[in-house]
Amino acid sequence: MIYQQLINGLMLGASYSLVAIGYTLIFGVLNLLYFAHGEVFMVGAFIGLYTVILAGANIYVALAGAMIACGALGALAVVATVRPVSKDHPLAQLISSIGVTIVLQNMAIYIFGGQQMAFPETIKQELYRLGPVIISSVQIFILVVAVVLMAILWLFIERTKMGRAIRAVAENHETAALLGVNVNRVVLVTFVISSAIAGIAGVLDGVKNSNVSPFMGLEVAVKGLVVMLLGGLGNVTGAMVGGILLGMVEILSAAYIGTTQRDFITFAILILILLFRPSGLFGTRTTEGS
Amino acid sequence: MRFSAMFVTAMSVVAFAVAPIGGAEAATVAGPKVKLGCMVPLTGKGAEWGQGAKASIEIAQQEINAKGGIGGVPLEINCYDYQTQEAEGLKIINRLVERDKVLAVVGPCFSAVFEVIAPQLDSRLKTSIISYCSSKPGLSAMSRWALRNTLTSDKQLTPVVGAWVKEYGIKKAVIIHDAEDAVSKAEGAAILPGLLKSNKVEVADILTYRTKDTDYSAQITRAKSLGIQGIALGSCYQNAAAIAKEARKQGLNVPMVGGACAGAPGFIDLAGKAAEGAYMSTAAWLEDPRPEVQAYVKKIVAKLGTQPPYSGPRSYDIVYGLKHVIENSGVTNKPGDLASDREKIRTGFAALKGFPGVAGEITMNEVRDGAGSTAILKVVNGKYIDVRKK
Repeated sequence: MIYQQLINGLMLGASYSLVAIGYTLIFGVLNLLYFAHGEVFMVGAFIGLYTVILAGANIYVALAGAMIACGALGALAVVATVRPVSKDHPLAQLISSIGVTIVLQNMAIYIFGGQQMAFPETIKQELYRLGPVIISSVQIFILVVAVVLMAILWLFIERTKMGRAIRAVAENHETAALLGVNVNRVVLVTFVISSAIAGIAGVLDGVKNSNVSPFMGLEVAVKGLVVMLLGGLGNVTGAMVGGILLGMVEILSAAYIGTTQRDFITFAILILILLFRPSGLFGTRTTEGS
Repeated sequence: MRFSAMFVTAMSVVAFAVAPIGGAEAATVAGPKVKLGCMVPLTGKGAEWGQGAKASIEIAQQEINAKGGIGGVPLEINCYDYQTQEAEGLKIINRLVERDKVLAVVGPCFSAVFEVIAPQLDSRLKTSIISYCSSKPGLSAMSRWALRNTLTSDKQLTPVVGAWVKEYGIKKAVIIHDAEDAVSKAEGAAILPGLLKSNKVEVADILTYRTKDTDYSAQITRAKSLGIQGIALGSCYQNAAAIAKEARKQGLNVPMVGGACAGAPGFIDLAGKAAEGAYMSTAAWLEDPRPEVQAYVKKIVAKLGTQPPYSGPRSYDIVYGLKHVIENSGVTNKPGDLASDREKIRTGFAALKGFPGVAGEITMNEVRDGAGSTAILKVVNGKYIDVRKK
């Protein structure tokens, strides 16, 4: 059973990682806890759901639709709620992002209603036996999409000019600007990428749990923040590994100890890690890992 | 001739059953309107229950006003959404009692909210709350102002678990329940273990989750490893549906049985094929061919687009029950008589016996809970059927 539970942990962790990557990228370039990120995840799930229900699209179209729409939402968020807000006051942008959270959640409740909705079966359910574990077609699909996405993102940040610019801005805004990096553009691109990934993560979560609700973003937002702290603020590799770690801890404690103690165990581990490694597992504020 | 004789007999029985209460004098209801309160959860885990109730309460109000109101005075019902949250529920009951000055309150739904409001009633609020969907045993005993027109979940579940065990030949089962929701916890931790034991079913393990959880893979993997033949749920319909789907995803195709909060139409909508074969309890059965039930179903489906869970018919019946009590227990509806009117409604409603309703007769028992029979629902081809009728 332990192997099967590890697979469960991996699945849960993959969605935490995808959300945390967005948080950490935005934190890296703006030093901002972007609260609305969880709601972008929720919007992505609903766009995926409606692409499937209304247009009868397959899962790939749903993923693409959510990615594009959430990317656009990210761009809109920068233009409408980040740039106009004073950077001099450290709390202003945070408050603005809380505002976006409330607006997105209430819009979703207004449009879709306050209830959970079933995510239709878009991937044919089949079970495969791999040694001691049984893995389903849905799980394989989600893992493949998550791993490919993380690999592309890693390559983008490590190997492209824009990736280098993002890392430079994360290191130091002023120096990057002096060296000719267009900081505004970097911030915009970071938001678009982070939001697009959150959109995909939302659809994957809908597929994994077979339902979506306007309240799904809040819980994920909190977990994403925990993962970001665990992995190291602004550290993409940290977010990837931290997400998987959190998923594993949650599943194993739910399976062997009990759900009521789960959060206690999770946060106790988090506190211990931060006591011994205050900058997180992979160090803070660099996007390339330490 | 035979039909009319039966009709006259039936009407006399109803007339006897709903005769003026406790010897109280019928008084003239005064004032520009009769004001009742209503508490509904329109979002959160109780959304479907609250939406079904709100639409039903509005239908009852329209029908009553179309026929001249209560004692000739139009009925006004102030409805508020408490988002299935205890703190919101407390705020709203205070608003209804102290600011809106309602005669009685229809609601709240959910035992978790009911049990935080009930202790406030005796000492301070002194206004009846009449729940249309709270079924954790023992709650109405917390206050003489706390009433429920619904069967407690032990009474609802007893026949359902028996039928489920019998049909599927269950010998070993696992219980999965919500560790936070009041009625689900009562079902999972106390009622279901006892019922399974009395049906000679071994409880292999009791697993929990938290209301806002969306991932149940750990619990299902554990359940699967135990070699069980069934899953008993202390769970609301959204979580129950997600658990059913996760079980299917992991290839654990065993039948489920669920209690008061799980047996909503939303369970089938959300779980789809994974719902097939599940047994659920309920405190109303809307396939009932009685014309008054079908007339209600027609109206509620036209308004809501779908059938409500039992909160709908039970809340509809409460509004009519209150009309009957107000008209027959000497309620004056004068501002100066508010306290005594509230007291009359409390004693009047608590004494209701055999009052006809679409969810069945309202008969309040000695601890102010509803009594009567329950249906045994089974999901067959995406619909609930009552297996008692087969």
